Amino acid sequence: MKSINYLFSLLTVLTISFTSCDVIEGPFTEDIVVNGCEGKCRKIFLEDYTGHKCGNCPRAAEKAAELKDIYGDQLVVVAVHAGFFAWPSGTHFTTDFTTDAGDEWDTQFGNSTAGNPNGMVNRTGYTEASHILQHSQWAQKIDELLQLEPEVYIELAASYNSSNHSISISSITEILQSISAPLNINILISESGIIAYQTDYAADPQEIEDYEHNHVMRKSLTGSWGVDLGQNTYKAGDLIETSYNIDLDENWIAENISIVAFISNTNTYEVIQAEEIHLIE
Amino acid sequence: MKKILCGLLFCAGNILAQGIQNGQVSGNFQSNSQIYFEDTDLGITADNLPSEVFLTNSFANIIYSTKNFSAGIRYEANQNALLGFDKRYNGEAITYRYAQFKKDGLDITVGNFYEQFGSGMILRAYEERNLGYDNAFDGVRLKYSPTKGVYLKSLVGRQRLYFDKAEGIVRGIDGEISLNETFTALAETKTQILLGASFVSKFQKDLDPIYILPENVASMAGRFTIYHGKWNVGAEYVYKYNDPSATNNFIYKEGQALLANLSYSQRGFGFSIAAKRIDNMSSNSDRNLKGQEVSVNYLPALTKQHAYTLATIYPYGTIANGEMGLQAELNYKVKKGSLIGGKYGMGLIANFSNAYSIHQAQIDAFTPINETGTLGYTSNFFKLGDEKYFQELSIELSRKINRKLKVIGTFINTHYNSTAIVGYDYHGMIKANIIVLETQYKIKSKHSIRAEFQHLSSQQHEGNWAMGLVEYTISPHYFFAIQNLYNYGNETKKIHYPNISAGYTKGTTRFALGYGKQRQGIFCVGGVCREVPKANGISLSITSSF
Amino acid sequence: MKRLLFTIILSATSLVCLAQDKASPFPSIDIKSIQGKLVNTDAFENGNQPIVVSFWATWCKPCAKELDAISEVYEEWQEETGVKVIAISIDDTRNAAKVAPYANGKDWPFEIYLDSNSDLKRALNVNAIPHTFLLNANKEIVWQHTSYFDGDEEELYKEILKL
Repeated sequence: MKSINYLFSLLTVLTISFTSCDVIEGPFTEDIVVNGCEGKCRKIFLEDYTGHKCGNCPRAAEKAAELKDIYGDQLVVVAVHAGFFAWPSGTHFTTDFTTDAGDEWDTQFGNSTAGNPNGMVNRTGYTEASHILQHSQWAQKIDELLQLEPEVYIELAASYNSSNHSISISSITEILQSISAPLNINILISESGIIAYQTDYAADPQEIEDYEHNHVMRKSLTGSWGVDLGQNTYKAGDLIETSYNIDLDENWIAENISIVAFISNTNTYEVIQAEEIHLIE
Repeated sequence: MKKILCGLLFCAGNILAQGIQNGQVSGNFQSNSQIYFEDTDLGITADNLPSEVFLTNSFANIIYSTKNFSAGIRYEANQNALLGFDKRYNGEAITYRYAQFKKDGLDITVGNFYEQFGSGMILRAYEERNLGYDNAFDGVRLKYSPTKGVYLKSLVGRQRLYFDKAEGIVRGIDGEISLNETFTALAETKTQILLGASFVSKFQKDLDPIYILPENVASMAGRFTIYHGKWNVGAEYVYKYNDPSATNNFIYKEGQALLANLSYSQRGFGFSIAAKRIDNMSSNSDRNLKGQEVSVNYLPALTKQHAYTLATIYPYGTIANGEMGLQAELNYKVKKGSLIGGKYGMGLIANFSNAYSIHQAQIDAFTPINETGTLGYTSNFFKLGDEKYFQELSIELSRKINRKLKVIGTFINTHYNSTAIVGYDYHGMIKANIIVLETQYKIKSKHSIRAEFQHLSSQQHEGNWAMGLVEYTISPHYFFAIQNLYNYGNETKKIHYPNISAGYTKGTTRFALGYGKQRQGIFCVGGVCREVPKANGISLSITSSF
Repeated sequence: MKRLLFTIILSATSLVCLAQDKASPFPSIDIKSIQGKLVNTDAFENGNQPIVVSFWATWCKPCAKELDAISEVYEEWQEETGVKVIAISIDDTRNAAKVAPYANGKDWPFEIYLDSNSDLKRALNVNAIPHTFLLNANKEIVWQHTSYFDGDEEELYKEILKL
C-alpha cells in the first residue's frame, strides 16, 4: 500500500515537473532571416484553396500576402478557387472563379473536403497524406523547403498582343542537378486586383462588396496535370523549351495578369521549382 | 516442435476458456443509413446529390470485463459518412481500444479513454455520436485514492482526429477532496464541502519561422462545491497561459473562464441559477486546427436544450473566444387537489438564459483588437460587451387532465444573433416566438396517440413556421409517426417538409425507418454544433446491445 | 490436431454460452451522488429485492415521461415488490447543476446519481436513452429495454413480478 502511495506521488511529481509552462514575453515575432538569393534560386509554390463565400478564407489570403512580403520573389502564390464556397450563387457571388484544372486538383488532393481555407506548399507530403496545411503552418514549411538547393530553373518570357487580347509564352527549363524521375511542366495564368464580393466572418457586414482578390488562378495552359518534359532522367545542363499562345478572356485585365510556371514530379506531384512573371512590367 | 506448439495452444486455449468463463462479454451496435433523392422544391438536383446515393455511419463496441479488468474495442465503418458529417470520417477502422485494470487501489487505463476534470472547462474528452464529435485520448490514465475522500487522476495522451491523431501531447493532473469524508470529525455536519484543482499542459513543437510560439501551454483550475441541506453553491475558475492558435488569430493573451452556480431544491420545487464568463478559452491539441476537432476542453452553453423541432431551429453554440451570460431555471410541481393544480397537479418549468460578448479594449493606441502576434486585447472582467448574442425565455406547463389525457403547453421567446453565431446566412438578430401544444391520449391499454402542434413566428430569416405531428404507439413494440413542417411565412419559397416514420423495439434492439424531407438546419449538443444539410430521402437506423 | 480443434471448439462454445447468458453482473463503476460524492455502483443495494436502473437526462423527453409514469405508481410497486428505482443522469456540466432541481421539481421519489463522464453508460453499452435495466436480488441484469412508449412501465412491472 505504502509503495503504491510512493509510486503515485512520484508519478504526479514527474508529470508536474515535466509539464513546464512557457510564457512568452513580447516581442512575439522573431526577425526572420531570408537568405537573399543571387542567380538561379529555389522558389516555393504556395497554393491557397479558397472561395468567395468562405468567411474564414480572408485570413489565409492575408497570410499569403504577409509571406509574399517576407519572401518576395522566392515565393510564388496562386489562389485556387474550388469547392462548395467557390461556386457562384445568389445575386452577389455571381463570378465564377473556378477552373477545370483547379477543380481536378481539389478533387485529387481533397482540399475542400478538409475544410477551407487550407493550402499546399510545393504539394509536399502527398504520399504521406500530410499535404494539406493550415495557413498558420505555411511559413514553417516554406522555411524548411528554402533550405534545399534548386534542382531546376525556369526562365519565362511572355508578350502581349493588345490588338487581339492574346499572349504568347515561352519557357526554358534548365536542369541544374541530375534527376532520375519523370517531370511535368505546368503553366498557369493568374490575375490580381479583381474586385468582387467576398464573405469575411471578421468583418461587419460580413459580405464585402469591394474585396480585392489577388493571385486568382484563371486558367491552366497545360491541362490539369501538366505536360511531360519528355525524359525519364535528366542531367545537369539539359534545356527543354516549350511555348504557348492563348487568347485572354475579355474580362481579364492584361495589366493584372501574371504567368506562373511550376515543375513537378509526375508520380509524387511534388513541386520542385516555380517561377512567376508579370505579363506587362 | 509440432508437439510443443500443440501443447502451448492447448494450454492457452484452456486458460482462455477459463478466463472467459470468469468474465463477461458485452457490446452494442448502431447504424444510421440514408438514401438520398432529388427534390425540386428543395433545390436538390442530380449535381448536389452524393454520388454514392446510399450513405451509412455504423459502429460496434465490444467489451470484455471481469472483476478487476476490462478491455474493449470499437469498430467504426462510415462508408461513406452521412451528409453533414465531415468527409474525413469516411472510412473504416478500429478507432477505440483500451485495457483497464485495478490493483491495490490504483486504477490504470491504457489505450483510448474519455475523461473530464471538474466542469470540463480545463479538460474534457467525450463522444457525441450524433454530432460526429469524438476527441478521445490515446495514452495512459491513472486514478488513485490515497485516503478516503481524496481522489487523484493523472493522464498523458494524444487526441483522436478522425482516423488519425492530433500532433499535440496533453498531460493533466486533477485532485479532488471531499472534506467530510476525509476528516471524520466533519462526517456528520450538515455542510458538505468538495474542493478540487487541476493542472493541464499541452505540448506542440514550434516550427514557425516568424512567430515565437510557446511549446508548452499550461492551464490551471480551481473549484469548490458546497452542499448545505437543500442548498448547493459551486464555482470553477480556469486560467490558461498564452495559447496563440488559429481560433484566436494567434494572439498571446491569457485565457480565463469562470462558471458559478447556485441552486435550491426540495421535493416538488427546484431553482437554479448559473453564470459564466469565458475569455479566450479555446484550447486545441493542434494550434493550427480551427473548430472543435481536437478541443482539449469543453465550454458549456448555458442555454436550455430543447427537444421540440421548431424550438431547435435557433440553437446556441458557445463562442470560445469570449462570451458571458447567465441562466436561471425554476422547476415546480403545483400540488394535486389545489385550484391551479387540478386533480393530478401541474408541472411548471420556467427558464431564462442569455449570452453577451465580453468587453474588449485595445492594448495600446496603435494595435487593433485581435491583431495577430500581439497580446490581442484587454478585457474588464466585470463588464459586458456591446453585442447581445442570445436571449431566451421559456415556460412549460404540463397537466394531466384525466386518466387518459395529458397536455403540455410551451412558450418560448428567442433572440438569436445570427451574425455572431455562425450557422445561418442571415445577418442580424432573429427574434422568434414559439408555441407548442402537445397532447397525449390513451386510447386503450397499451395504445396511445400523441399529437404536437407547433408554431414559430418571426419577421426575420425564414419567417413563420407551422408544424404538426401525430404519433401512434403500441406498447411495448411499435410506433408510427407522421409530421409536416410548413414554412408558410417565407417570402421567397414556401416549402413543406413532410415525413413519415415507423419503428419496432424489442428489448434493447430498435429499428426505425423514415421517409421524407429534412430542412437545412443546425444541430447542437451542449454548445457544440454541426450543420445538417437539407435532404430528401429514406433513413434507417438500427441500434442494439447485448 | 484433434486436441487443438477440440480446444478451439470448447473456447468458442464457452464464449457463445456466455454471450447468451441472461443474468449478467452489474459492472463496478464510480459515479457521483447528487451530493457530489463519489459512489461505486457496488454500493447500490436494496436488501435482496429488485432494483431498476434507468438512464435519463434533463433534455430527454421520453425519459421524463418514463420516470413520471413510474413515479405515479411507485408506491404501489414498492408495497407489492419492494423494488427500488435508481435514476442515473448522463447530463454533462451544461446541465449537471440543474439535475437536482429538475428531479425535485418533478417530485420524483427515486435515488438520483450523475454519470457525467458516461463511464457507466459505456460499461453497460447504452446507446440511446431512455434505457432501463432490471436487476434481481443478486444484482444481476435480467432484463433491459430501450426507448419508452406510453404504457411501457406495465411491461417493466410484469418483469419485476417475475422475480
